[in-house]
Amino acid sequence: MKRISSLTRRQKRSLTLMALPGLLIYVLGMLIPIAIGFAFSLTDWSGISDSWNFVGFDNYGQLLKDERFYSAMSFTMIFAFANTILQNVIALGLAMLLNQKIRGTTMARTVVFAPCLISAIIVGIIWSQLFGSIFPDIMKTFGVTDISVSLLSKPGTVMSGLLIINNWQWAGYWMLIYLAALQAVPPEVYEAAYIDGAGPFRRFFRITIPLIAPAITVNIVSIVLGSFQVYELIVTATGGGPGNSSESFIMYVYNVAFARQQPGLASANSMTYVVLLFVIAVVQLKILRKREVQI
Amino acid sequence: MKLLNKVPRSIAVAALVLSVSLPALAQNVKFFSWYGTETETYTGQLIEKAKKMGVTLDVEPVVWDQMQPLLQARIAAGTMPDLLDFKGQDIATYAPAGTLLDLTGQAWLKNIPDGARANLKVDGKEYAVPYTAAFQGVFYNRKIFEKFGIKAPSTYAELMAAAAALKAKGVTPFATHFKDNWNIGNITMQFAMAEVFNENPKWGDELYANKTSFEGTDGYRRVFQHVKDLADNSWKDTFSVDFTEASKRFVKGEAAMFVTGTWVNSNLTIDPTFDYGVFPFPGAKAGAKLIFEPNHTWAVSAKTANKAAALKVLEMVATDKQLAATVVDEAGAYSLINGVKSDKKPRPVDKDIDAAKATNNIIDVSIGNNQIKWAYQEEYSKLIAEWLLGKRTLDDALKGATAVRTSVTRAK
Repeated sequence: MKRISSLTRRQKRSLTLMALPGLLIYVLGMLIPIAIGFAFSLTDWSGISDSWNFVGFDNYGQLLKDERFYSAMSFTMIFAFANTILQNVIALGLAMLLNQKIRGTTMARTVVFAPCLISAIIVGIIWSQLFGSIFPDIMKTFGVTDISVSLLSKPGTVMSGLLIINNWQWAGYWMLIYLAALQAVPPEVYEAAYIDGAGPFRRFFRITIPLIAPAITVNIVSIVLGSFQVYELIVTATGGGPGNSSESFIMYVYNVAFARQQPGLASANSMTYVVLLFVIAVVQLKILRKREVQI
Repeated sequence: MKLLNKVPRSIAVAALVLSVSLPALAQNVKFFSWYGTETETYTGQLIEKAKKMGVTLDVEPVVWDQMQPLLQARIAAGTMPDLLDFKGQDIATYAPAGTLLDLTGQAWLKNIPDGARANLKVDGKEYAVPYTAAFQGVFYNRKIFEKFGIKAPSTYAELMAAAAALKAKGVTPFATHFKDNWNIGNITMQFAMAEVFNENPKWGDELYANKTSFEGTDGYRRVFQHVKDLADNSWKDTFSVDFTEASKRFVKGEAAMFVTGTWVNSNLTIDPTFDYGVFPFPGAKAGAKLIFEPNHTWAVSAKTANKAAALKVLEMVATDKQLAATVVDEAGAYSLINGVKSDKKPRPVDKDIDAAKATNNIIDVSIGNNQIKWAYQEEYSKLIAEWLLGKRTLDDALKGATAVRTSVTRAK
């Protein structure tokens, strides 16, 4: 492949022109809104009046003093961390199980994948009914009354409830990516390892994991970023409750903007979040890319 | 040939005439309607009647939970609807920000009682047409009360004695639905009207002026304790129960009392045999009043380009008794338009409400809601929920409620 410096002027112009539409969309859809958001974060605008005052970095100072900023951030980080591990393990496990050439795997893959097609809003409503009344009624019918399955109604168990729901919905989606990666691993590699006496665990950790590392990178980065943006599920499943125990960071920003009518402060929160997510994505990519192996 | 030459010219003239006259014939008014999600018949009638006046009403139905963020997004984008239907308590937020048209002096406002309009004025000016009212208090199952010989309590001590008596008979005293944070917010303000605002109608102003606090006000300490008393005398799974489920259980007799408002009517009247009444939530002393709230409230955008058309529709809404009667029937509401009567059979609770109105035993909750707006109530409700679930102490919850005043700003 030619280096950019050795291309002719005409070729460089052509490449620039081809990149221009994408660049335009990026500037209009990403950079300008971020710039506007940053500008609002330096004001005390109420969201409904025509006037506002420039307050400098006061909003950034205020958010650091808000207890809810920390509780929402902490909830979201724990959710993202637990979700990433669980979803990857479950998705990879399902992919390995359904990678067999046996009857019923196609149907099973469809069943496992289907929940991700349902809107998160509907998923939240369904599961809040399941945990709130349907499961308890079923248990009551079987005479089990001393175990509570209302996971979403207590601060101590609401995180578990939301993780169950989110993994039920999305594990099938990531499973497909792992499935594609597993199917791309040449079988001769496993045969050679088998001949050399490598057992199933050794083959898994020394062959499978390194060769599907690009898929692991994609899944981990996507699940982390998706988990940090969790909102619709929480709106209908718990509303951020009980109390504030399941208020995600996006929900906190939304409440600051529209319930408290402080969009300036909400913008400051959003800017802080954008920087945090950017740093997390960059760190993840750097660490994970090093472990990728290509044949 | 001459005839053919005339045809294009006549078409052009006709097009010119139509282009000028058609917009004048039908004016478009964008209407942001909370009612649009509850009352299809009413909305249909409203659109038809507006059409006859030459106004095309472009109704956007909005679910109550999404009202505020959607409206604020519209205001920010400069696309605020011409006509709005929101809550009485929203006037104190939007009017001072200059987003609502001043309606002071409009003749048709006299169709609504002064008492309903008084607490919605901002700096002496009127920006709202309160259309329907909600009444709030302790709704009770008459059959259960009669069965166990319980009379409507007039003091808090009597209420708790009634609760204890019901519990002893195996009846859950109170229906609650704390899965909905707004339930805690609503009942807390009901209690506060009896325990705090009855004694000091300016308590909220004093809070924002740093002259008082939640933890320093005995009335609010009692208010928070009342919420706990209700939780202790309600279903164990209240944090899993939503409004619909609570209404269902109440109708089935799984609780004797339900501290709520007349928005519950449409859920309770699904069973036409269910007999229920309402009494005011009692305070420490006797003399509590039934709470009245201007519920659906109309207003016009200050920046509307269709002012004449929007005001035409508003005048129609404020004077058309048949239209107002439709919303009474369909939404289980109480009209604030003078002289509106429904043809339908009265609801079981209506006789208690009529009795309270006749003896002027009602109090406007706008007194409290205008000072401690809904966003504030939602914030401290979460603190109350955390206290009830053992994550905070009562003092923490009260101090946290005071601290909310720095994050929920008052209208500028």
